[in-house]
Parts: sequence; structure tokens; C-alpha cells
Amino acid sequence: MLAHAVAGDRVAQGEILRANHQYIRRLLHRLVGPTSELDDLQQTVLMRVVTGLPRLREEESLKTWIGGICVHVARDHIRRRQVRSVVGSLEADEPGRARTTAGNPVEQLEAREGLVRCRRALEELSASHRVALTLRIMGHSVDEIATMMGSARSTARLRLYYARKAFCRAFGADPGDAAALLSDGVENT
Amino acid sequence: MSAQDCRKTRPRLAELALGGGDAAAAPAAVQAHLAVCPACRREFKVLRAGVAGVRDAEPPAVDEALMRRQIAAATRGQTGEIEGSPLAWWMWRPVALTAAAGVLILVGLGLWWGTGRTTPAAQAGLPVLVEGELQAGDITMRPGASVRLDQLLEAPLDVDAKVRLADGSAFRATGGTRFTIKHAAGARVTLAAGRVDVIARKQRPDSTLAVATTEGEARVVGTRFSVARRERDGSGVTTVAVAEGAVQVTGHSDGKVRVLRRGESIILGVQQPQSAPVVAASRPAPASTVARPARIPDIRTRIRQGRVQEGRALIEQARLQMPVRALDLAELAMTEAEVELAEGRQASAIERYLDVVARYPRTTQAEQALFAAAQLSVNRAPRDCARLLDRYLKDYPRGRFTEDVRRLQRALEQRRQAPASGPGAPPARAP
Ligand SMILES: [Zn+2]
Repeated sequence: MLAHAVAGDRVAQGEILRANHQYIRRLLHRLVGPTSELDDLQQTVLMRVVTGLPRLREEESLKTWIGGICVHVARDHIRRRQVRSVVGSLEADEPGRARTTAGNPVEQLEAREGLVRCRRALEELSASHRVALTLRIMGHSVDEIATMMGSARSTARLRLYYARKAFCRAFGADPGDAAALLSDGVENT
Repeated sequence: MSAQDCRKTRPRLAELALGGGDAAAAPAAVQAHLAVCPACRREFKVLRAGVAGVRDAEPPAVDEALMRRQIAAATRGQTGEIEGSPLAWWMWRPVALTAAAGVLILVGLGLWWGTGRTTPAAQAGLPVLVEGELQAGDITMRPGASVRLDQLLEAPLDVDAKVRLADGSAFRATGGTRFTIKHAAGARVTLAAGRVDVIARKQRPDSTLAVATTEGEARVVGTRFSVARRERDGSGVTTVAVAEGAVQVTGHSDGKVRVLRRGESIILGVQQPQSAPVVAASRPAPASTVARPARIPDIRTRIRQGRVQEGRALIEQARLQMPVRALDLAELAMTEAEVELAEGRQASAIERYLDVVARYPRTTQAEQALFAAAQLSVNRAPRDCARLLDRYLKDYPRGRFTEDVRRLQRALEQRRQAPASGPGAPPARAP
């Protein structure tokens, strides 16, 4: 089927896209975080897969190759977002909207807090560092990350090293120690 | 154990969490610290959950029809690349009217347009998208694009669109807003749902910028103002709030024309059992529906008096007028929880309170909300209650409710030891 798809058979191409639709969506979502542009990003990837198929080298695994396309699209998206004004994004990433699966509200609260803080720490990173670290968190090997990001193995290693360092540094301070910061008077009942 | 130990341990906890979160794999020093430091243990738990959240995050489901369209578009090579957008024709989909309307907050008006650049489109008299994105039918507009007239436009849910009009006036449509720009004498923005914040140039008498909705119309007199519209239960509510200058507002239901000045706002389209309009003033309403700024005490008064619908309307109104201080927003969020309580929905009240804790950490409201959530769950979910109380004492060792928290803890403890002894815990009450 892959050969058919590479040769331009639309039905075969469609089947490949269908088989990988959820994989692409999930990968994009994990790489960029919640965004209303997910459908757009996904469409971009699907189109690039189709136009790129003729160039697919045989020894490449299809999944990793598609993953690489996702990585590129996600990285571009993250770069664009970083340029965008902070004003708008403040609201867009409301922590309260993060989705969690645990049923218990307290656990949910903790998981949400963790997720929000991890996402914030990731957002502080450059697009490449962020993508590399997210892939690592998802369990990809350094080799896979290098392949997907189209970089040398040493570059991937280095990116991971700096990303990890910056990520951990973000948690150096105790988030709870400033509880009484606000002296601002507010009317309470 | 010292604060310094904690500072040394924290980044290593992040590293551990990144590596899969196996505490046994930690260096001996970290393990030793974790054994004696509950704060770091909790931090580790939170981080581990956070990393797992990033790892396992699931995207919103895609529906089969959309997937088919996407795949068909990709294989047929119908890229529809119009004005730099690869999505184009397949993307158009209706968005729920209420999705983003009304829950948006006024963020730094005036911050975003310092740039007075004029584009060819602006010179030609067309509005220009300055920032963000707009969707018009199957076309996505990017910054620099001229904005189509007489066409339904939509800002993506999480992106604000900023549009500059030919006369230099500008407005910002918050994410999810749907509107149409018409060129009559002066631009006219018809708002279907969502919210626009306007900064208008001084208008010539014959050329007036107006924002219109089903419920009414706001016309510029040289000013900064916001118009929001949302639908609930099939009927629309429009709110107009003036930050600077003056706006002439016409309500369609009564045909009345009023001039709103700085700090004033009005709600159009709220159906009240009595004919009196909703006003924010606590004293008897004047003949006009022009409201003073909505104040939180007024909201609470409504809730106490059982006028919950009015309370809700005022919350909406307050969201429009309030300065963007986290404290105000947090306090407003508290009143939302109180509305739930007033209507007897304890579970959603708890959720709202926990939301305040999550969204506005380190505010006095978060402290209050945490305690309120604990109180409300005493009988419903004692286990959760215990955890919330623990968390309270940890976050606020010298908090305002420490005494009450301890009392609750003791009550829970007693009840646990004598399980069948009935309601021994103090009743839940709102803060
Ligand atoms: Zn510690």
C-alpha cells in the first residue's frame, strides 16, 4: 500500500492518512499544547505527508517520518506564537481550562496545577528545546528525536541537555512561599 | 531539614519527574530529604502528575466528517491556499454562540495599537486586520489583510483579532467573536456574539462608528468602549461599557437613546419579571437603565436577596468594566461560586471554588475558596475535605481560617473513629 501511495494512488494515500490521523493529532497536541489551531495544524501535516510521500526513502519508518513532519509544523507554530503579543495569550492559556482525567476533584486540582506549571516551564523554552524535551517526555529516544527534528544526534543531545536544565531551573523556587504577597485591600464579605 | 535543603532539592525533583518519576531512583540525599519534608513530597507529586499530563495529553476528539474532509482535501491537493492560509475551504464550521462570549476579560486596551502604520488597504478605505486572525467563510485572514465588508467574520477561539478602520479607529474582537463590518456613513460593526473593544478616533458628525446588536446599538462620540453580546436560553444580552469619553446607546426594545459616560455601562435585552431594568446602583433605580459600575457588594446583595439572575447579569457587566487586576477577577470568580451555592448546586460551587484556587493562586480569594471548598465537601466527600484541609494548613500556616480548619479536622477525625454516629461535623456554610 505504501508503494501505491508513494506512486500517487489517492486511495492508498487516503488510507495512510486515515491510519495515522489520530497519531498526528495526538503528537501535535502534545507538542503545542491546547490550541484552537489544532485542526489547521493537522491539515497542514496531512497535506505535507501527501506532497512529501514521493520523497520518502525506503529505509525510513513511516511513523517517524510523519512524526518529523508534525515536529516541523509544531515548531513553526510555536515560533509564530512566541512572536505574537503577550496580551492575547494571557487569556488563551487559562490554566483553569486544562483537561485532566482523574475523577477526584482534589487530585484533579493537583494534576492541573502540575500540568499548568510544566506547560509554563516548557513555554519558557525556545521552540527547538521545547519540542525536543516534549518528545523526550513522550518517551522517544535521542536517535528518534534527532531523526524527527532533522538534526544530528549531537545536536539533539545538546538541545535536550539545555532544555532539561532550563526546565528544572524553572522549579527551583518554592511556588508556595509567596502566599501572603498581596496586601492589596479587597472588599470581602 | 532547612529551606536551603528544599531549594537544593526542588530542581532535582523536576529532573526526577522528567525521568519518569521513580522516587527510588533518586540520589540518596534527595530521598533523605523527601522522607522528612512533606512540602517537597507534595511538590514531587504535583510535578510527576504534570509531566505525566504533558506525556499523556489527549487532543479534543475529531469528528469523522471533519476527518474525511481533511483527508479528501489533502489527497486531492485542494490546498485552498488563499492569502497565506493552508486551511481555507474545509475549515469553516459554526462555533457555538456562547463559547467565548461574555467570559472574556478586558485586557490592556490601548496596549496593542501604538503602531500607526497605514497599509494600501487602509488607504483604499478598507479595514485592515492588524493582528490575530479572522475567518470569513472559507478564507482565513492574516495580519495585513484587508477585511471584507458585509461578511460574517469570526475570530478563532483563542486568538483576538485587531482591526483598524480606515479613519484610524480600531477595535479588538476577542476570541470567538462573530461580527460583520458594514460601511455606511462610518463603519458599522454588527456583533452577533462575543465582544469588541473599540478605540475610536474623534468622529466627524457625518461619519460615526457604531457597534450594533439585536438588542441595541452603541455609537461613538470619540471614545473607548466595549460591547459584548451573549445568548443564554435563546435570548440575547448585550452589554456596553465605556472606558473613556462618551457613547450614545440606543436600546431596540424601548427605542430609548442614552448617552453613557466614562465608567458607565448598560445591559440591554435582559428580561426582568418587573419592568425595572437591571442597574448596578444599590439605591432605587433611576428612570434610565444607565448603570453605575457594577460593584461586587451589589452582586452579593442580589445573591442574598435571591435575585440570582440579576446577580449573574451584574457579574457579566463587571467583567467588562473591571480593571484587570487578578484580585478583582478572583473576587468575581468567588461571586460565581456564590451564585451556584445560592441556587443549591453545591457540587458546582465546589468546582468553582477549586477553580479560584487553581486560577488565582496566592490571592486572599484562593485562601477563602480553598476553605469554602473544604467546608462544602465535609459531608459529601470527607476524604477530599481532609486533603483540602491539609493543603490549607500547608499553604496558609497562619491563615485566616486556621482555627476553623483545625476544628474541622478534629470533627472529621472524631467521625472517622465513630463512623455511624451521624452528622457530627459542623454544617457547611459559605464564607
Ligand atoms: Zn523540602
